[in-house]
Amino acid sequence: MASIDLDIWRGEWGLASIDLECLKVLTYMKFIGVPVRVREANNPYFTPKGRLPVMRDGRNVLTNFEEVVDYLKSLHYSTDVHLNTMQAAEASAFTQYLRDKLYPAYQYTWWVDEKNYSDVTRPAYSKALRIPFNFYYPSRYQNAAKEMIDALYGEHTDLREIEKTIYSEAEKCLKTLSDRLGESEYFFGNRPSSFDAVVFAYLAPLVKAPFPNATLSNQVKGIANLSRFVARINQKNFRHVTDEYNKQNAKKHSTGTQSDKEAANFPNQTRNKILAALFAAIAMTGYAVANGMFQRWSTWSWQRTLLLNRFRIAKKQFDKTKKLKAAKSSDNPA
Amino acid sequence: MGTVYAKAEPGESEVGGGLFEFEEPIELDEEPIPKPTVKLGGVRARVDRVHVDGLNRTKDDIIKSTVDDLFHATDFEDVILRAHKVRRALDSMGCFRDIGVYIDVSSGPGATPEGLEVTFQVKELSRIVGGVNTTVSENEGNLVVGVKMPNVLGRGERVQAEYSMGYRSSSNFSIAATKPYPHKPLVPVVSATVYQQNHEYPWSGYRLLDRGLLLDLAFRTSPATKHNLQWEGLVRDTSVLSKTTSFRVRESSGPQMKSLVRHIVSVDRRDEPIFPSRGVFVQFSSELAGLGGGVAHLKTELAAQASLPLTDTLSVQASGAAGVLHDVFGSELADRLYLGGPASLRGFAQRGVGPQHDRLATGGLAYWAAALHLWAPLPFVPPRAGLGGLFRSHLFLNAGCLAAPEGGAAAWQALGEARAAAGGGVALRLGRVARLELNYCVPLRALPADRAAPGLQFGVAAHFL
Amino acid sequence: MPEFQLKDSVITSLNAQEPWPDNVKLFQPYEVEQILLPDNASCLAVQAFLKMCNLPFEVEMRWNAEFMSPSGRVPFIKCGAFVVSELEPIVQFAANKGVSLCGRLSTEEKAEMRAYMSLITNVLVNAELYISWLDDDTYNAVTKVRNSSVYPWPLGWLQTRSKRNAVAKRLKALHWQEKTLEQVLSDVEQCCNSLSQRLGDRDYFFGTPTELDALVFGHVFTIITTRLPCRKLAETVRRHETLVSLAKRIDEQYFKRP
Repeated sequence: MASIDLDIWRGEWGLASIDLECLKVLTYMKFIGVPVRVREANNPYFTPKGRLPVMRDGRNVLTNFEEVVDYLKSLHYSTDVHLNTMQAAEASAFTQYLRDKLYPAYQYTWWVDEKNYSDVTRPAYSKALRIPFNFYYPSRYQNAAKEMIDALYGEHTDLREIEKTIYSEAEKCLKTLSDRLGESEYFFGNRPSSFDAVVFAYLAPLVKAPFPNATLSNQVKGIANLSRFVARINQKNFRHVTDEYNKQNAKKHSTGTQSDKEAANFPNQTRNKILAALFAAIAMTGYAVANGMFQRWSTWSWQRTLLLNRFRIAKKQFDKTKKLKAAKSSDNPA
Repeated sequence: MGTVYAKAEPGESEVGGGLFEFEEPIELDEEPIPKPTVKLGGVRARVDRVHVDGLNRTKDDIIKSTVDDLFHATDFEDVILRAHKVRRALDSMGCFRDIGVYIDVSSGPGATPEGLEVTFQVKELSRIVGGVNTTVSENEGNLVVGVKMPNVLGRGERVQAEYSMGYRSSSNFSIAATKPYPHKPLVPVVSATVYQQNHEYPWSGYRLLDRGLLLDLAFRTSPATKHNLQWEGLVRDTSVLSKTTSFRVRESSGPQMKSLVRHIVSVDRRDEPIFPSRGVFVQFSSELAGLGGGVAHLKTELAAQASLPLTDTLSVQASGAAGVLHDVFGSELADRLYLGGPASLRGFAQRGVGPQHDRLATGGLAYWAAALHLWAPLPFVPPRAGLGGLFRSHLFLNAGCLAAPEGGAAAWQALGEARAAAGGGVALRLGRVARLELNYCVPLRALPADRAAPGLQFGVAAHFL
Repeated sequence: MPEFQLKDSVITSLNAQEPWPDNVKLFQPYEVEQILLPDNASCLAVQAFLKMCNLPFEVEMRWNAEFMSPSGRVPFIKCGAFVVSELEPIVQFAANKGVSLCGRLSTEEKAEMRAYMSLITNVLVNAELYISWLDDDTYNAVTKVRNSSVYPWPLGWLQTRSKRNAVAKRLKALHWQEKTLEQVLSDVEQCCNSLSQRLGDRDYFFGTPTELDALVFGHVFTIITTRLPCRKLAETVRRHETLVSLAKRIDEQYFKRP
């Protein structure tokens, strides 16, 4: 018990982790105060499902939030003991509600929206990953998210329409959540529960990550009690992370801020440049072949041969007719 | 003197270029055979030997039977004409490019006094020709990849495949295999095509996804009469284009299977397919669906066109079209008949005539259309040469009607409500299979429900009314 | 986003002017030979909701109802020029016409109701899809036969196969494909537990009928009355007697013809 290991995605923008699932587990563990050794993984290749977080306790390897909650409960660590059966039922219903309405919007904001993906999501994940995994995992996660959106909202529907539906559903969901929270400190009573960890994990990245297309983030920030909820939990549990981030930020301001972002971007840029050049070369060659540029070269020399031939044949034919005529004229008088 | 050559101008029989948008082998222009300055008709000649140089994988038997004709020539002019014919036959096999013909006096053992040797210099097309292309249409960009394998088995067989990929999971492809039998009676050509095609019909508010198999047997009963006997089996997925599409269109969505036989006969006695100045063209197609599948109907359509030259450059053209659909069961919007648009009834929007639902055309069961044209060359440009050969100008008057009659007297009455439009414009020839028209149209008679399109109208099509 | 709100409110005011018309039609697949467990449950839920609201409607069965629906899912209603599919939008649509079942609920109760409805659509619907399409016995004996019944051969075979792929893709995206039948049943058990905990010994979840009751009725009633080779789903649900008696009560009250 003394040595629970937790592998997570590294943090950014003052978050303990950039990933929803990691943040759920991390927050939950902070709530119960279980001793844990957190490690920022730089590749998820050797994890059971190719995803993080991974919690290891001796021989037990757990890969998602529900399993972690159940496992810790079996060790008599739980935040949900103060919930009565009705509240427990409600908590599980609300968890599904978030999964149903907010999760698609969350995934859309992080992965499907191309601008967010290329400006924020991919650099953030690339920075956490080691070469060569940073070429592979972000696009793999993006494809998974796109497939989910396609499966839920129809492959042939216009993406803009899907976006509108998703965000308006998410807005309703956030409003409902805010109504349910009211002015309480936590969702169930005055102590945190696993559901609070889930809500915090959804909302905190939306509040902190600097998305260029920030529809969902603005919706969260626009609801006062939810923003306060996020700030409160952050302050209580992740104060050191935020402080460190602020400190670094201040330092970076004096030295220059751009370099960091560029470093994260750089490997992708090189790759893209090489790929683009390769593609252009192939495309141009293909075009040239298609238009018969090479054929024309060969045709030209062929035509010259033919022309020479023609002269030769014409001369021969002329000679022969002359000979025949000569023969005829010599026959006739005879 | 005496040497004749016929040589395709460079680029003309180039099959590898572009993406074979035009299915048929590109025919050669009616290039005038060089008129001999000395009368050759009287010069007796016979062909001793024929050489075909440059053959690689093309089988001998097919070449032998093609050039066989030459040995029947009796005088020199005949030899030239037949050599020209053989050259065209070789070209239409679609296996060669740059076909050169050389006629030489024969020499060596076995040469007769008036004997000639004919040599064809051919160059086989490469085994596989490919192309990549991008197209941009209203809604999305497409990447088109095409591969063509001419003369696969050495007797003019062709396989061609095309694949186009859109932005969001809409892809089209077709794979076609063709086998000609140039020396069997009736010159049959057999082909099989497997395809998947997306089509959008914004005028009717639906989208089609067709996946199917088409078997085709083409043959000729006379040089001008062409028959196509086809069987087609397809699964078609109809879906509406937007959430606000009329409910009548919405009702017809869903997958359907259709199996049909089709017979098309066409008689083409025109001097030229795109800008004819004399001659008649008639095409009659009948389609019987319902041999399996969920759609059964009988559809017949007739199109006819006749042209008559008035002066050297002016010509008048009359054309007509009619069609009837008899539904047995399951026929939906995609099966119905439509009228209107720049290539059919000019002066009306695409599918702009006939039954409508919330401004979306829902098609009819019978139609007729007729048009009268006066064709003239483009003013100020010499009519035959260069640019002038590509353009024509015309004045037209067209009329037609589309209806979904119940039958009996009501049918005749419904079909009597003619719509008419007049106008004029210019047409541009696109290769040898299509033309482009830009017209100024004035609708003369329209019903309130019709979507008339006065003013400039622009259209590209292979066949115009 | 202000623009959404603006648009919503415009539609609201447009709809509100017209009362519920008489010629509303509810479109669904053929009940006897075609409809599948998940679709039947949603159709029944919508019918129950409309009956609870006392809104007149006519059921029309079409072989292609699924393809006619704007969302690709059944049922949908046609009300004048409007076509609305699935329970939640239909509830919203009725509310815009001034008909609502949860008018006297507090905001917290409304929030709770939405959460429980999500619980059902996330757990029960996916479990129904799983049983119908991924459980081999049920797929071969029931789903394949019924789904292809309206198409000629070989379209039925193609269509069923492509639909199975689509469902598998959906379940995979929601991480349901990798579950075993036991895991699915334990999820269902947990969901039913939560629902019966919330219901307690009341007649309806919030005292009077709401759309949540309609949704629970649709799913529970369909699951316990549909005969499938895999009986475990029905058995799991049947163990929760309060839910079963709720379903029977609603059936008695709204669906028994006099």
